Amino acid sequence: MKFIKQPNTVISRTLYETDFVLFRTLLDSGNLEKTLFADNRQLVMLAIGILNRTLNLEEFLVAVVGQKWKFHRKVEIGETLSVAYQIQENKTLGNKRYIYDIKIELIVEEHVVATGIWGVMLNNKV
Amino acid sequence: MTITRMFKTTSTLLITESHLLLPIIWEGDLNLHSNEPLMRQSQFQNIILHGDTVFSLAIALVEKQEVEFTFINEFDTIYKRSVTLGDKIFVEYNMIIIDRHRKLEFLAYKNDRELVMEGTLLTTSENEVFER
Repeated sequence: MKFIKQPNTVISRTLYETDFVLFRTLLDSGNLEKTLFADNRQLVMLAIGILNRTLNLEEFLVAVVGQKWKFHRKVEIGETLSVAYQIQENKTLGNKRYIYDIKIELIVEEHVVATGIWGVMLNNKV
Repeated sequence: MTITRMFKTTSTLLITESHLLLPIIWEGDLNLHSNEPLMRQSQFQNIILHGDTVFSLAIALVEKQEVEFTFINEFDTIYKRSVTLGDKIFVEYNMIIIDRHRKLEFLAYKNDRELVMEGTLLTTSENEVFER
């Protein structure tokens, strides 16, 4: 597996209570009670959002092929998230289709709170 | 140790404009989700929702029938297709309960059983963080 890139970024995102309530509202999840902790589905979306601010994959994106995530501790509303990531070439399928694994660490104050792999298919090499 | 298996189907969810806000707000306001003229000319032929947006919606359908997964410990998904406005999605799932742990195995479909995604999700009944 070929190591491609590991950007350093100062881009971070604070998770607000309104983020949580709006997320649950858009999912039509009944429970909108105040909570201390983030919904881990939303954390993944935030991680991808931060990543998208550092790297423009959209022009080359054919498909998102899969994800694997593990969450190591609860994230509190009000905490600020950042990501570190590596892009690794996984497979060349032919016909200008390339699979990349983007290995992501979701970080709060230098502690890794979740780790994930975002598998994408691109029509060009990174 | 007790193991309970369930084989169930959720209700159907119609994908509407409000669902477009999920990726637009938190993942980025990308052409994929909000540039209709461009996306009509793309391979997708329309704006799309995909990946963790569909994952979140699919799990919400299961939550409505089961229990709210306040803390998801881990998940693993494979995506087959995107969805767009007007599509109807539903989920078939097994919930395996082993002691305090829940493992959800699920398949999400759109319209006439076109497979959109499949995956597994682990959580605990007490919303604990797994110690590993």
